[in-house]
Amino acid sequence: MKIINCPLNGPRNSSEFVHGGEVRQMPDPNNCTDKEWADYVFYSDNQIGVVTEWWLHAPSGYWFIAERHTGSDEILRTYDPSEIYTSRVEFKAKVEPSASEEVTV
Amino acid sequence: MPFSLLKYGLNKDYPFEQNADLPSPSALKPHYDVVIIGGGGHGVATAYYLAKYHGITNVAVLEKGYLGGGNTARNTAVIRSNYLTSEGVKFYSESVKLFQGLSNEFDFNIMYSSRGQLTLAHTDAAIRGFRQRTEVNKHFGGKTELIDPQQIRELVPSLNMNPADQPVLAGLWHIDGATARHDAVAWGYAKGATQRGVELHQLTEVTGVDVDKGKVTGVQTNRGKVSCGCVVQAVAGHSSIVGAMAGIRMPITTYPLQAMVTQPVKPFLNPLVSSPALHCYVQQTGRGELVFGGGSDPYPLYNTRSTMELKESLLAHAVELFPFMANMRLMRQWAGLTDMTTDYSPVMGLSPVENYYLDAGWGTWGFKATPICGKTMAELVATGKVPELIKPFSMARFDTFRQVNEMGATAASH
Amino acid sequence: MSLITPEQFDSRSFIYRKHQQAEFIEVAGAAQVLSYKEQSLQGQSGPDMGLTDLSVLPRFGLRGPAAGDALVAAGLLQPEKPNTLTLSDEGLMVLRLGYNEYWLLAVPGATVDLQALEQQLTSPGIYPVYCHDSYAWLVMSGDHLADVMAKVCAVDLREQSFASGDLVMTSLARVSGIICHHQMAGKSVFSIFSDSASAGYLWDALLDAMGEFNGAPSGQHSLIK
Repeated sequence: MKIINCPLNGPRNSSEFVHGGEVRQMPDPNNCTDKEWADYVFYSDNQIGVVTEWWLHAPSGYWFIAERHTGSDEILRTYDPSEIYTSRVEFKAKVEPSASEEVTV
Repeated sequence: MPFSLLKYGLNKDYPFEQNADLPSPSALKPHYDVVIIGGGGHGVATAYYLAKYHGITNVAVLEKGYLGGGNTARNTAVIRSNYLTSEGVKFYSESVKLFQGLSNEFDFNIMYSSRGQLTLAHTDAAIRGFRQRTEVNKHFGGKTELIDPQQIRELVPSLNMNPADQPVLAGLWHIDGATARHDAVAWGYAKGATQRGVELHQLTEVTGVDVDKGKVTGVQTNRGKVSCGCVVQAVAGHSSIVGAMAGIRMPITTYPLQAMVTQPVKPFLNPLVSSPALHCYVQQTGRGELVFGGGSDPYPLYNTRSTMELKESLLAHAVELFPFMANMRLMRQWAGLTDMTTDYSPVMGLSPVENYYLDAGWGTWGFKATPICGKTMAELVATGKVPELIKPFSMARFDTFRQVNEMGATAASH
Repeated sequence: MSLITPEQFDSRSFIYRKHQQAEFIEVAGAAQVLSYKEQSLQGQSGPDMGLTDLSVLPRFGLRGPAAGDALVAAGLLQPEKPNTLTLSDEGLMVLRLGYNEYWLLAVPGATVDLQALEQQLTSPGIYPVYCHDSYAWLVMSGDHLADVMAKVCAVDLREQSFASGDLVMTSLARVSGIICHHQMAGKSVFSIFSDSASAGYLWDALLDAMGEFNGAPSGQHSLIK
């Protein structure tokens, strides 16, 4: 079985991990165009080469980042997300006028 | 049955068929009206219908390997139309109808075998989904019924009705379900197309696409440059990579899908049986082998290596469905690349590049659509208008959030 | 005849039906297996390996950026490295799961007031983790811990790579779980925490794996000095 090196838990069988998709910059959902949002949600480069991806070590619920080659399936590097994300990412939904009325009712 | 087959049977001598083989390869011409990238089922079917219905024969099919050697040869040859949405059912039903007449049309046996396809429900939620699919199918003229465990037992006596402690509660019995020899489909189309003047160039890899002012003008290959009026891209498993050559970014992620086949045994299993809950489908080919398919690999990859854990879980589930299979030997196992879209429907029609037409996003549902894809893509190329049948599958649907969700209608959940 | 049965309590272990012929005592408002009858008939020499269900014992968790500092401020023995644990003389076990999550548990015979601690350990930057009703707590004891676990788990759990005080989060018998190496009654044991939904399966799977080492269910009396 393929072995993935978890930055927190060490080398483990790949069956303990869940793929979480590419690390991407999220556009501001309140101000971006529909096309930008669609691109973020649905579209992908999907090329052969090294990609930077989120992975989850399921038994510990630990998310980390891996650099993996999509042709050879080789994992070049894994690291804690704090290397990229230094602060918590907040998600603030835009309050629609009608929605706020419903809340006050 | 094709009459020539009957003639074969009654003939004393071994009948030698003239022009049995494809025309030998020639030099690439500097210009074609239509270049089709990809010599799989979809590509040669498009060429065939272009020549047959639209009289367009200045067509080159460029294939980097050999005819039907990619995912056409790697799928598990399931033909069905019991989908979830009206768009999907209409489209795939047309395909099933075309498949039924192909052997006669080609005068070449594609070994179409109408067996019926049985999908098993192990939960109430699955039964609800089946009810919806039954009604949608019937509405569009398909033959699909919801059947009870007793009927399932009669159809498939060898099935374990309590696999993995998940009792079979009901079945979606798709009478139109069928299988065919996937290679023969590609060969039949290729033969028909080349006989009408289409050129099939194998070992010809497209390495670049020339786009001038938003319009495609030609392609570069390992055998030189070719100019063309339009391009049809039909490269299942590499859609994003070829698309990128034309500067097109796609709503596709590519995953391997593994399958395997056992030694041949006497016929015992007529319908194609699948269990989405157990991520497994099983069918017996005309040669007696059992073909297994399952869910996709758990993460994207451009690699057809096989993995032990997926084999293990797939076989464990297959043995749950048919316990005696534990004694059978595997003969072959392989993987194909599936271009998955988020709504499990294809990406067909126009692209952001003028005269560059897409036949992509064929995930795990491409083989069954081969004839209708060829027909509609040919119509699109010939008329420049997107046929009604494939309008819902345009790539632009993702930009307007109008997906055609067929995720619930796969034979094995991916 | 046992006077206490699990059915008398609203709070029960998820696998209480597996404990047939058992003698129970009341612990934290639930029935805890003290011993199994067949074994008491055999006298003092119980099975070589035991599996004990401690799911009803009290425990709680906390996580967040301020969780570690709060433990230190409360004067508790805090595990310094991720994926390690501490066990105090009063029977308070603290697991450090990853960087910022801690579970506090009272082992059998503990003299700590977990409820008071739970109320004390609240502040901004601390979020509660509910690990009582969602997890089963099984304790494997005996001389062949690593040998048994090698049958169901891919991680090397032999003494040289998994010392007392270490814990791993991994999959065992194909379900996710936490395996903790610590001492009870002067002997090495493995505490195993796994989703309560699959606890019945895991109980059977572990007993099956322990079979060749003469393993059997055992009550908490075997874990107290």
